[in-house]
Amino acid sequence: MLLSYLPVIIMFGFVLFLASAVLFVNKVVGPKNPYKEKLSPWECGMEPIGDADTGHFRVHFFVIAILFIVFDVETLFLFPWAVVLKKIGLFAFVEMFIFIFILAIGLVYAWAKGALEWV
Amino acid sequence: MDVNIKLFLPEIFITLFAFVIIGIDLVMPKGSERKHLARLGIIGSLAAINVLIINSGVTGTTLFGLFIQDGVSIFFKVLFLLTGIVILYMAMLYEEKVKNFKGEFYALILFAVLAMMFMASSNDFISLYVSLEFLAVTLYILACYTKEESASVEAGLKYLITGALASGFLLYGITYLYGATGSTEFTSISRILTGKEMSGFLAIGLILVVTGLTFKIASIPFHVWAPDVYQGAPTPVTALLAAGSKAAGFVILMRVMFTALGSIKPQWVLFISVISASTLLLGNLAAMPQKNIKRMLAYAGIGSAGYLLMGIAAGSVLGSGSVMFYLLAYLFAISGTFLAIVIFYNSEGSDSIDAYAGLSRRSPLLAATLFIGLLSLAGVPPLGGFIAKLYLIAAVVKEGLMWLAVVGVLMAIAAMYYFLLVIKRVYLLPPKVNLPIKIGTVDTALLYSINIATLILGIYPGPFTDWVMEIAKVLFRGN
Repeated sequence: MLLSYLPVIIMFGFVLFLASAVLFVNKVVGPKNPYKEKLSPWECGMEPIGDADTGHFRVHFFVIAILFIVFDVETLFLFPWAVVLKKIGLFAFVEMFIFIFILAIGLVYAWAKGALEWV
Repeated sequence: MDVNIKLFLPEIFITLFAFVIIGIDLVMPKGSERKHLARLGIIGSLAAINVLIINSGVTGTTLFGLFIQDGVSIFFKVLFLLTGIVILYMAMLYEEKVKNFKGEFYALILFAVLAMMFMASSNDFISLYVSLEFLAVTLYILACYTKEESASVEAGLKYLITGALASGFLLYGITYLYGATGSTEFTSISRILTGKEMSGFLAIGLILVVTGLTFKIASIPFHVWAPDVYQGAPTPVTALLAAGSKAAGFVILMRVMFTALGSIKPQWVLFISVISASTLLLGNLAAMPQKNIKRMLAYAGIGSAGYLLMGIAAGSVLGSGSVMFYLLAYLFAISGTFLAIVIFYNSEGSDSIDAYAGLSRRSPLLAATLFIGLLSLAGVPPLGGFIAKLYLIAAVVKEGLMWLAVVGVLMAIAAMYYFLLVIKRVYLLPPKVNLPIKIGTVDTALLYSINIATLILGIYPGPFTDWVMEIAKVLFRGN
């Protein structure tokens, strides 16, 4: 019973060896050429302003992220719906439009309340 | 397609009204009064109750067994819609107290009611979880709605974090139950479990699912959020948490324990009884030293969850029927009490119990409402709460859980103490200022009808108890 786990243990040992070997070789033979641009954090192609570790950043990012997630999830529902559309018929077709309509109301609401304004 | 729209017509109604409220809110000028939106929500709820009663004969399952409409779900939906109407009215009184008030507050209350209605109709662990999260998300937003007050923000954050943890427990438990039975639908789980012995997976799943659900009903081990959230949240939201969310948690608990896991009842009775007894002890003893009335009611609510769990522990038609009757009496007692608290807060700006001194001389109606509401919660005859507690204790005695009944009776006496402390201030102590508190005509009518309902449930409970006992039989169809 326990012996059937032997391949797993061998694999685990091999992974451990390979991972540490790659890191080690990289450390020894890899070229190192750090300069200012390379070390600075990537922020949408802009010059970073100030430090990130003060903990102050706009709450607005969060609102945008939430709005993005909603439509991300919508796409998730749209794909399987599109694949089986012929099988599930007219009801599901209408149903999905109701779903998109409800999401659209949400977007219109957020828009009208000024959630997308970047002041 | 397995879709029978007639079964979820009331839900469609509420959805429509909530979206109409959001739409109208957008075109209304900024900063104007939004009380008409609440009135619209009340009309929508009344319409949905009407639809429910007209279609009360139409029962069955739809959406591939995810959704069920039966006597129990209709009973609870009417209960939730009534709660929603009272909460919307309370929110209307509360509107001036909130800076930057938006109409979405009313829409969110309707969405919370909608989520509770779906919970009452869930017949599958999938729909149970989705509707539970739907309710949780709306309540997270509502709990921290007064963003200027740090207590409210704290309430929202605490509710969110404990809620997420409890959700994790629940989901993990559901995976174990699915692993043990191969199904998520309640009736098929019950069919598979009939005549089976308890296995390890099943036990882990059961314990995790019950633990996750104790968050909604505010009982041990997930009760810690209740006092802080009750105190910090806007009072209408506190009332919604106390009356609505608790009842929604219990309808789910009844469906899971009786319909799905009813066939292995002997194995979980002790587990539920221990939770019930410890919740009773903690809730009622911790309520005694409280200085804030909302915080005291939070602990009293934990104590009530203990009583309601007695009905679950009994695991019989009598037990579940008395849970339903208790929730009915609880709804009227809680909504009357909280309505009085909102009116008092609007006039005095305080929730501390000491501020209630001499209320009987300033407003006899508010004093009488607190008197009836709090004594019904304590379980004093001839009020609704007394009959409810009596039935619950009878249910556990009938199942041979004498020790649990003894704890229940002792804690009913303990509950008298802290409720009477409030009533002593209201009736016996002299007021600090002797100005009468103004109450509007509609407020008066509402307070009178709630008090009369509590009295009727206590004096003439016969038709109501017969009704809930008849409905409760549906839950045991699986075994």
